[in-house]
Amino acid sequence: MSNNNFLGFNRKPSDTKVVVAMSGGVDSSVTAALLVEKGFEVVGITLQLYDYGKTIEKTGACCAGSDINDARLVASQLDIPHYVLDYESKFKEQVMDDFADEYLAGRTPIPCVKCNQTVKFTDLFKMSKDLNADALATGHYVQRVEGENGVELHRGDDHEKDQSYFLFATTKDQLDYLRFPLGNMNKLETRKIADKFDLKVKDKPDSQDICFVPNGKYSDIVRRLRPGSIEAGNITYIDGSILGKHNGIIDYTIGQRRGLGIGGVSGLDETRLYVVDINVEKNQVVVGPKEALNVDEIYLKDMNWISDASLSEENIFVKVRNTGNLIKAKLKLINNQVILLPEEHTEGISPGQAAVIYNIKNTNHVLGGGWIEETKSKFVANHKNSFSAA
Amino acid sequence: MSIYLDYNATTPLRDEVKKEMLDIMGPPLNASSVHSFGRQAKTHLENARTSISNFVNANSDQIIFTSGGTEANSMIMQIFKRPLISSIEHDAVIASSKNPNFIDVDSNGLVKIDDLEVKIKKFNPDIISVMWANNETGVIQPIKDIVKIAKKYKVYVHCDAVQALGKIDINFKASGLNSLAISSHKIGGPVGVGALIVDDPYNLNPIILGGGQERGHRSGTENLIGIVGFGSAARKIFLDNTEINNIMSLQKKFEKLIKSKLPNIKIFGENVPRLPNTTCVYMPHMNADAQVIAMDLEGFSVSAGSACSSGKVKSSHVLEAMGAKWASNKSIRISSGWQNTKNDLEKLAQFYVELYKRTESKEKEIINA
Repeated sequence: MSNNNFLGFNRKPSDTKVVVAMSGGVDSSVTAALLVEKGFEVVGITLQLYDYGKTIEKTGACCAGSDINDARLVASQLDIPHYVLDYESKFKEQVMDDFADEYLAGRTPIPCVKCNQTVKFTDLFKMSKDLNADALATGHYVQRVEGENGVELHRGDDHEKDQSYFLFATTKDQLDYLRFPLGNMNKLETRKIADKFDLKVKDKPDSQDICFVPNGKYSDIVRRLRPGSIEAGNITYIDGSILGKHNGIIDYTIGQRRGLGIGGVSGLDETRLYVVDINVEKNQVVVGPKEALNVDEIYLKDMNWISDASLSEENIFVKVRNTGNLIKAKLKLINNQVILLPEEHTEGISPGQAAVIYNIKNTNHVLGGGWIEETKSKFVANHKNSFSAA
Repeated sequence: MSIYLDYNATTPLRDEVKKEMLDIMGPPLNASSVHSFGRQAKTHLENARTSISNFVNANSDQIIFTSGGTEANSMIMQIFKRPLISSIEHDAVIASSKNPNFIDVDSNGLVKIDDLEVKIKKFNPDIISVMWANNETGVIQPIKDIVKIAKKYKVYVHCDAVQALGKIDINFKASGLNSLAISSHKIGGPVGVGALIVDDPYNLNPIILGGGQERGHRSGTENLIGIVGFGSAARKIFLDNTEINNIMSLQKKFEKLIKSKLPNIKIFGENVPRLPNTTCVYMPHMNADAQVIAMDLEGFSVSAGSACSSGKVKSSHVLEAMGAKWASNKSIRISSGWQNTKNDLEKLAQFYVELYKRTESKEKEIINA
């Protein structure tokens, strides 16, 4: 071990100024507590992202109004300076509006990644640098590793809690400045530390939902943000035949089976039908059998590479949803278009989600990722051909 | 210990005020009671009222104690249906005005008298409200001219003098105003007390009903300890007006220091009448919230415009109204007071210049990179 301190700086913790992004949850509170205990000069910052009065009452999600107060309480308990920054208008423009537009475009967005990309790692970054801080620390369960070719992003030790999926868009510059003190801990250890410090938030439940979408009712938020832009349309089978009506494509996500509202259609068992496509031009929700969810090719856009590795054609692992497993896949680069070919059964992927790419030799190592633009399925292609032939 | 330079937000409690308040704390003090305790309370209440009336040159019976400047402004504004207010009013006035129309200000932050006349003709207002001095820039408004125009068109005219009180002379009778709002905690009195001063109280429409205190205009047992503190602070300034000269010379020194190091620095309302203690200054490469935080971490308590209850920094509607939208989230306010020393403002000037140069060079690095 070198003389480097806990955060990797070659100087005393007391001479190292760290901004901690405090959401008011257990993880970021423990992050702040740990750094205070180690003797760092800690400044807590909490982002006010939307008007809590106007957003539906909720618990169990991050960044609610009461969470700002919790962050304040913890900061006062730790006796550190703490500030609340108003990023409401930025969050609205860069995260919530994008969220609504993505749903209207038939995709399933991940606002947490957008938030990390914009308000958290752009604006909060500038703030931290303006304050002459040496680093910005968060309570994410990921690890920052000093590799041979510079800094690397790795999965958190606790794979259940790992948040690398949400951080694939982090740039190398950002990663350089970031610190993740919880990266090598599991949730139990974090809770223990919260207990040890008797933090006011120690018994708070983990956040589950998207912070501004309480109870998972994302379509309510989209309707509020984009009134009048949601139209009823048809639910069709993959062969084009009309099975029923929908009240807006935003109510459906790919892979959805329940609540399709097309019961009693002759010849088809509704319980075996899945949403397999959302056709924005025709304002149609397309349903089909489970096999139609199979994905054989994944087209990505807006790639972010954290690693310098050459990636023309590689064997990689990929995650196409946060809670998903690592899937073995081939990565092809054709005319700057990144295409992933899963080598394991893969189904039900929505455009708008992220595909995060991991090193085949070290599955903890995040190489980068991109946004899923389109997927292709041999099953659907074959059926379309046979339908149009018929 | 931090150096406090945010007197326009609130002030420390003056020692003599604190002493007077402590002296009466303890006994039951309900000024409406018949018994000896009640009479004693009533005496304290009326003495304080006299102190305020002397201070602003109004009759005692024109003074209605309230919970603060916000309530005093709201009491007046909520009565009227067609308010015409300046575009740089405090939220207390804006929020309690029903569908207000706005009078423009110029780039110095002064209300445009010609626009006032235009808007009177256009909107036929039933009240005009212009603050005596702006809380963010300190710019002092031409109240005399405003009143003159208002009288010409026979429109009621109200003034929020919360920020001006104690820093410049306020003479209610001579002003010709119909009403005036003032507050205790901006002059070294306690928080939670203010007053509405009205030429004719019988036009009022009380918003708090009950036991009929304050001659029926503002019910609720009087905040006697607070009112005594308010009266004490008023008396202190009325009897000794030398401290403001000292504050003015400190503030001028501060401005001179930063201007000598940063020749292009922008101070709002620099060349028009301004409160002696207020400087609103623009830093191009750093947002106001970052400036305030950086200052706080360095031990200087300053602010960016008026703070809302959550403590978050919002961009300044005052600077926007002055045509300086570019500066509205990059300017901070430094407002000094009687406890500040020459050393305080010199240290602040030094750090301000350091911060300015640091962020300027970082910006250059980014551009060159």
